[in-house]
This record gives sequence, structure tokens and C-alpha cells, in this order.
Amino acid sequence: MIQYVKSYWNSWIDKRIPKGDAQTVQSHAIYVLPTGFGWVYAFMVFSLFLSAINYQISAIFLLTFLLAVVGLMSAWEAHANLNQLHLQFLNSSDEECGKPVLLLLYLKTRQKVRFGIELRTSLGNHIRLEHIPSEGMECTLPIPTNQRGCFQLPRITLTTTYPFGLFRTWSYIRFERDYYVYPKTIDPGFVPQALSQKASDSDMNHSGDEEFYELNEAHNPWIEPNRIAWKIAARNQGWYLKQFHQQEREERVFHLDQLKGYPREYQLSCLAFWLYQAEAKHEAYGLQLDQQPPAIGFGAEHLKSCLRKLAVYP
Amino acid sequence: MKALPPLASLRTRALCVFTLWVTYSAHLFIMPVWMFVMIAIIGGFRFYADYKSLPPVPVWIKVLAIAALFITLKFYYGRPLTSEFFIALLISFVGLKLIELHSVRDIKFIVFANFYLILSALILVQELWIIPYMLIAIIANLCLLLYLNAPAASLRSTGKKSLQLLLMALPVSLVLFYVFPRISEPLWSVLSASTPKTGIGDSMSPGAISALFKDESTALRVRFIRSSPVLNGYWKGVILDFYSGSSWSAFGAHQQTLPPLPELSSADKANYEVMIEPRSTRWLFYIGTPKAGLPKLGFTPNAGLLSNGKTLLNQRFNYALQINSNDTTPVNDYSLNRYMQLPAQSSPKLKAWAKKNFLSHNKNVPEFINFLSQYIYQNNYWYTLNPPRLLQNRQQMDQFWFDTQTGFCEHYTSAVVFILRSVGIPSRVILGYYGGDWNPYGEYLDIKQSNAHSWLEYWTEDRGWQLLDPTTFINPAHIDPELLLASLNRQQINNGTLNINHSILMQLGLYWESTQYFMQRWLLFYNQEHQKTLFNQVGITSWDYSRLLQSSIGILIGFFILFALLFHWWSKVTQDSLYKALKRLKRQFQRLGIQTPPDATLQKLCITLKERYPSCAQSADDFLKQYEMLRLTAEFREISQSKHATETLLLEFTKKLEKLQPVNSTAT
Repeated sequence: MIQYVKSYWNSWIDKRIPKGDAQTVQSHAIYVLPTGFGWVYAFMVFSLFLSAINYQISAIFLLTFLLAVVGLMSAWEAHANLNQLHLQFLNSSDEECGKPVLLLLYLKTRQKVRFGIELRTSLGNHIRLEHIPSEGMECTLPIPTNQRGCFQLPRITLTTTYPFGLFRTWSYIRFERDYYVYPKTIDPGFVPQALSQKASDSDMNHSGDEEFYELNEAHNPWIEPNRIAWKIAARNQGWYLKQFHQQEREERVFHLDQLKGYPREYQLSCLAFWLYQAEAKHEAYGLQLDQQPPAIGFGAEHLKSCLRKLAVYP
Repeated sequence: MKALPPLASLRTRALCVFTLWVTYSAHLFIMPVWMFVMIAIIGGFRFYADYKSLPPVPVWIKVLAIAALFITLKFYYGRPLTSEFFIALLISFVGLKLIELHSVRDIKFIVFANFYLILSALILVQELWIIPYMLIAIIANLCLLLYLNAPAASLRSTGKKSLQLLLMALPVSLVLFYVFPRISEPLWSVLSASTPKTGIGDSMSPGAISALFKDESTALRVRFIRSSPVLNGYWKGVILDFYSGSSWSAFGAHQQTLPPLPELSSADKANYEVMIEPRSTRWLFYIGTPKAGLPKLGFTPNAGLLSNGKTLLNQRFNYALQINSNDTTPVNDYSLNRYMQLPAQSSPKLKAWAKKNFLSHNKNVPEFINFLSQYIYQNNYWYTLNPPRLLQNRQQMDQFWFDTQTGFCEHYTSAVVFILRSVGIPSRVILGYYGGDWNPYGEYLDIKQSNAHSWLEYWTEDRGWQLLDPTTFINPAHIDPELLLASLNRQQINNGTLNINHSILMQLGLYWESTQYFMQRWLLFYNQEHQKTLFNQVGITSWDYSRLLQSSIGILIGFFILFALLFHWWSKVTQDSLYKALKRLKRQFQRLGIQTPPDATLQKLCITLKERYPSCAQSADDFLKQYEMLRLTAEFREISQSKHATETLLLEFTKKLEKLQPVNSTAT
């Protein structure tokens, strides 16, 4: 029963959350309720009011009315503290299981300084921003990870009890982005054999990352515009493409069969470890998880794609 | 339980201490100073211990300190548990709580206690300065609460924000203050304060009234409504009929209520309205014979005027009276006997003298009175501030009349009543006020404690009770020069006319006093009668609680709706007009089914527009080209010109889009 209500509530909220990477907290999606302290405050004001009626002292009436009206107006201030707050999704990092995924957000306000806003996710962690200047600030929200896989960013709740702690105002934000949690790396203690050295005149034209290059004349330089030698072209000496030398690299291919007999999670953790190690040693590596031939390469992007494959492996 | 904001723990504590002492500030004037000194010492010791990182105080010492404070306060305030005792207890406990600050919840608790401290200050003090104190204390406590929730804000901005909220709340609070229905009876009985106030008491011994001569504080203020102002009137209050030989008291002193006077419907029908300050006697002061009054008053000609409802002696009280000009109620024999009581064996010489002289005037009362006046005038009778002390025995009157012949109004009154009673004329001592200062700005009579006076009334069959003031018989040459100067001053002021020549300083003083009176009537002392008067003035003649209550709630709700609307309108008005035009354009895009997230540029939107509505591709291109030219080209970057032109451009494009029909698209 409770589950049903919860799921209904969640879907109702989700309908009101805007989509997209840049979102503004809208007034129709801000919720305000009194806190416990707010109820105690109301009780106190009521008791002052009773004593005003009894003693018939006008000044106490004035005190009571002032406190009551200020208390109610603070609800409005709380609402204004969150209203029109602009959040922009900047980046989320993929992390190893156990380390928190860092979600980088940019908060911007329109001509208003905001105080005391907490961001929390449904996974339980939260950060508190004491002061958001009008020009905006970046903040990092850590998301805990305890399982590998591909997940969607959780719903973020922005809540504040500014100004007097009498009312709690909150709103929800959801970015439709995924993040990957890689398996935790475990060192198996051995490394599979490297493949034999390939001949350097293979038909694979790797674009390397070294400084030294050769110049090839090209008829259509626009095939690889990032390798055009601009200085030469500027001197009207023709169009040339740079070709970088390739470093001699060892090549390895990792696959599950190299870890026969171990449980699946352990296998994946070891593969992840090998990938990291290979990248650290500037080796070329590839990952083979299914029947397709592995893509061998190196660099941060390649590492990321391999690790992602590991993350989502069933 | 959150720990104190780590941002500035010392700053938080300092702010807490500051707020607490601001809240204490009113109590410093009323409560014993030693209590505050003790709290300051204990607090100072704690801060010193923190600074020096001494180990925390063991629990038993804390318990001992609290017990010591409790016992000292109990001892100071005495047996009855008065409200001041509890207030003192509250003050000291909140001060001690400051030492035990460990978490945010403790600070919130202190803020609560502060609000109750403000309440207690408002109960104890009925002066005008309590209003600014209340506002300042509220702002200080709101600042503290604000600081708890926004510790990164500077103290200045915190103060500004609290002040802003309070000022915004003030108008509606004042309206509610005046409209909310007031009831005339308290809901439950309240403990009255034990500290006695100055003024006329319930008994008189020689020297009691003269002690008030130096007291220039106001005793009562009279506003004349249907009568013309009486500037040299005798305001009757306490009627004393029992003479013990040395002092006068009243038989009926223990009466709680008197036969009620018919209640007036509003103060407008009264002859005059009296606002009486905190006093030490229950009896109320009047002139003439009351025949109807406000609020529930009780009156008998023999006992005096009382409030039949529950009132506090240490609070101001307002009452209005409709009077007859002379008292024609008959007096029965029992009462007459009372007014002839004399203690046995007191002042026999005076008794004999009185009887002898009465006989020699053929027992004719007016003649006898005349003789007395001549006697006092011609003989060596003095009226002075410092008469020689009379012996506390039953021969006091002999000593005064024949020996010292120097005294104040109490002596003369006492002596003449004694004389009249000795010869069988019923008479009684009256304590009250005489005269007063007319304030032309506020148009009220200001009667001070120094106007306190005692005189007598004697009874004759044909004319009833007659007023007699024996001090008027004294030879002016025999009046203490100081007293003479003071009374001449007063006569000059009153002079029988209402338009007086005052010095500038006196005028300012009078103006200030009348302002205070006005503020006291309409702010500090606003109660049911005033509310009725206010509504009558505005035009609402009939009212009842439920209607007033409804209108109060209606005002509160109406304020919120109005505030919300104003806020909305204000945020719209202060929006950039260019931004508004852009928003309108975006709304058109949305209407046509094109999403407009906050990071969408006009170019992107137009591309989508061209895809879905190829008919307006050309106009979209034109628009984009013009927009870029206006906003990005150097020569058109003159701010206001470009802005205005861009606005017009946006509006034109919006109009073009309005003509399009939205196409249902399956893509989201």
C-alpha cells in the first residue's frame, strides 16, 4: 500500500520536473511545509496570544500579531530562496565501485543571493551550499556507488529552511544522464601474455600522439582536417598532412578465458585492473567479451569504453 | 541534533549572548540588579574557562549554583508566589542556559525563552518606551534565527533582512491590532504584582499625603466629554470614617464589589473620562455624583467608586462617568452614627473647646463653620511642608490644635472632623486630588501625585453632605513660602481660562506629555472601550465578536493574497523588457510544439522551426539575420537603441508566428 502511494507520488513529481541539462526551479514545482520548529513557534505565538487576551495588554497583542505575520511571511521568503534557481549539468565522472561519482553542477541565480541550500539525492548523501552569489557557483555532488553498472542520475532534492527555519521548502531536479560504475579493481597477480609485435608498416594508420611527424602531400587535405599543416599552407607552399610516428607499443588483449574458474565479479574486477595497468604502462590493449574482434587502442577514451563494456556486462 | 554551525562557533555564541542581553535590557530597569550581576559573573566565568580550556564544571557544582539562585530569589521575593518571582526565575535560568550551549537546538530554545522574556517585560512595564524595546528585541531574536540558517551571511545583511521583514509585517499587524475584538474580562484571574505603587492609600495618618508633594508623576488624566473642564475641582476617592486616635481608615475597606452603576453604551455619553495610572488603592476618583459609568463600576455614596470587574492595580485603568451635580440620596441612621465615631479619651481638651464654642454660637452649624474659619485665619496657624512631628498618642489633636498649630492638609482635616464630630455633626475625611494642570494640546486635565489632598465633608439635614476644605481658611501669610510659590504657579497656569501663556520649554513639555497620552490611549491602552469609540468614529456602530473575528481573519488572508499579487506584479515589472519579449517569443515556439529548454539558442529554435514549418523558413532566416546584425554588429551595439530595436524585431517575429497553426508532431 505504502509502496503504491510512494510510486504514485514519485510519478506525480516526475511529471512536473522539467527535462534537460539546464533547468530552472519553477514556482509550480516548489513545495513548502512547516518544520517541527515551525509548529513549536506557532504554539508559542498562540500562547502569547492567550496571555494577551487575558491580561488585556495591547502591547502583547501587537507582539503576537507581529510574530505571527513575520512567521507567515518567512514562508514566502523561503519560496523566493529557491525560486528561479538555475542549475546546469556540467559533468559527471564514471568511477570505480566504492568511490563516489562526482556530479558537477553549475548553479546560477538571477540577481539574488541565496543561502543555505542543501542538495541531496535519494541515495542519501547531501551537500550544503551556504552562500550562492548572484554570479553563480559550481558545486560537486558526490553520489555513492556500491554496485557496478550503468545508472541514471538520481533525482536531486533541493531543500532549504531559510530564513528562520520555520518552513522547509524543497524542489526536485532530475538530469537524464547516465553514469557508469566500473567494477572494483582487484589485482589477480599475473598479467596475460602480450601479443607478438606487429610490423610497423601495417595498413592500420594509427594517429599517434608524438611530437615528431612526417609530412605527406595530400590532394584533399579535408579528409583529416585536424592533421593539416597550417603553417605551410599559410605560406602558400601547398597542402600537407602531418603523420605522426607511432611509438613501439606492446599489445595485449584481455578476455574472460584468461581467468577461468573464478567467479564472474572477480573476473571483471581483474580485467578492470589489467586495463588500468595497461593504460598506465602506455601499452595498447583491447578487451574481448564476446565473439566480435576486439578494438585495440590506447588513451583515455579507449580505456573508458572498455571499462564501460565491463560495467554493463551481465 | 546538529552541532553549532562550524562556520564561526565563537561568533554564534557571541551573537547569542548579545541577543539575550538585548532582551534583558527592559528587565534591567525592573528586576533587581544583583541578579543580572550574578548571571554576568557566571557567564563570564564560563567564557573564561572556555578560553583557557579548563576542564568542564562537574554536575554537582551546576546543581548547587541553580539551587543557590532559586533560594536567593525565593528569599528576596518573600512568601507569596508572585508573577515577578517566576519572571526572575525565567530570567536567571535563561541566563544560565547560555552556559550550556552545545547544539543548534539549544539556541532555538534560547530564542523561545527570549520571546517569553519579552512578554514578561510587556506585562511589567506599561510605559511607552516598551514599544521600541519590543521591536528591537524582536529584530535581535529574528537575526539570531536567521543567522542559524544562513551563517554565511554578513551580520549587516542579516540585520537588514530581519528589519525588512519586520517593517513589512508592521502595517498589517497594526490593522489587525485595531480590528481584532477585545474582550473586557480576562479569561482567568492573574496574580497581581506585589511591589506597591505610589499614591493615595486606603488610610490616612498625618504626614501620609504630604509625602506625595514632591512626586510630580501623573496620577490621573481627565478628558472632559460632555462637561466643560473643571480646573479646580475636588476629585473624591477614598472615604475614611473611622478614627483610631492617630489615623483614619474606612470601615468598608474589605468590600469587593459595590452596587453596580448602570453601564453606559459608549464613552461619548459620559461627562468625563479618567485614565488612572498604576496605583495602590482600589478606589477610583470622581467628581460630582456618578449615576452611570463605564466599564462595570460600582458605587455607593458612603463607600465610593470601585471597579466591579477584575482589574490590576499595577495597570492603567480607564473609566468614564455620567454624573449628577448634587447628591440627594438620604443617609440612614446607622451610617450617620458611623460618621460621629470618636475614640474614647482622645484629645479631651479639643472636645471641650469645640463643645463650648458650638454652644456659644447657638448650635448653628453655618455660624460655627464660619467661626472656625475665622479662628484659623486669625490665629497662628501655619501650613508648611515640614511640620513638627506629633506624638503617636491619643492626644495628637490637642497637641496640634493648641500647641504646634503647624501642619499640612491631613492635620487640618483631621482636626476639623474631630471638632465637628465632637459637637455632633456627622463628618468624614476624604482623600483625593485637587486641581490639576490643563494640557491645551491634548485637551485633558493632568492631575499629578503632588495634587493629592485631603478635605472633609459634613452632613446637615437640609443640605446633605457639604464639602469643606479647612486649608482654605489659613492666612496666606502663614503658608510656607515654598508651598505658596508652587500653588501660585499652579494658579497662574490654571487661571480659570483655557488659553494660557507658557514659556517655550513648558509648551514643549506639555506637547510631549499630550503625545504620550495620545499614544498611551491608542497603543498601549487600547481596549474594548477604545475599540468601540474608534469604530463609532469610523462609522461602524454595531459590532459583535464574531464579526470582528471574521474581519480579522479576513484581513490576514487578504493581506497574503495582496502581498502575493504585489510580489508577482513587482517581479514582472522589474523584468527586463527585452527578456519579456524573448519569453513571449519562446511561448510561441512552445505553442507550435517546439521545446525551449533554458539553453536553447534562437538559432537552434529557428532551425527546428524551419524543419517543421517550411512555410516560414524565409521569414525565420530574415529574422535571424536581422537579430545577429542588431546584437552582434559593432555599430548597432549602442545599448538602448539596439535593445529597443531588438525588442521590436522580436515582437514582429512573434506576431508572424502567431499566425501559424501548430502541427501535431510525434517527436517530443
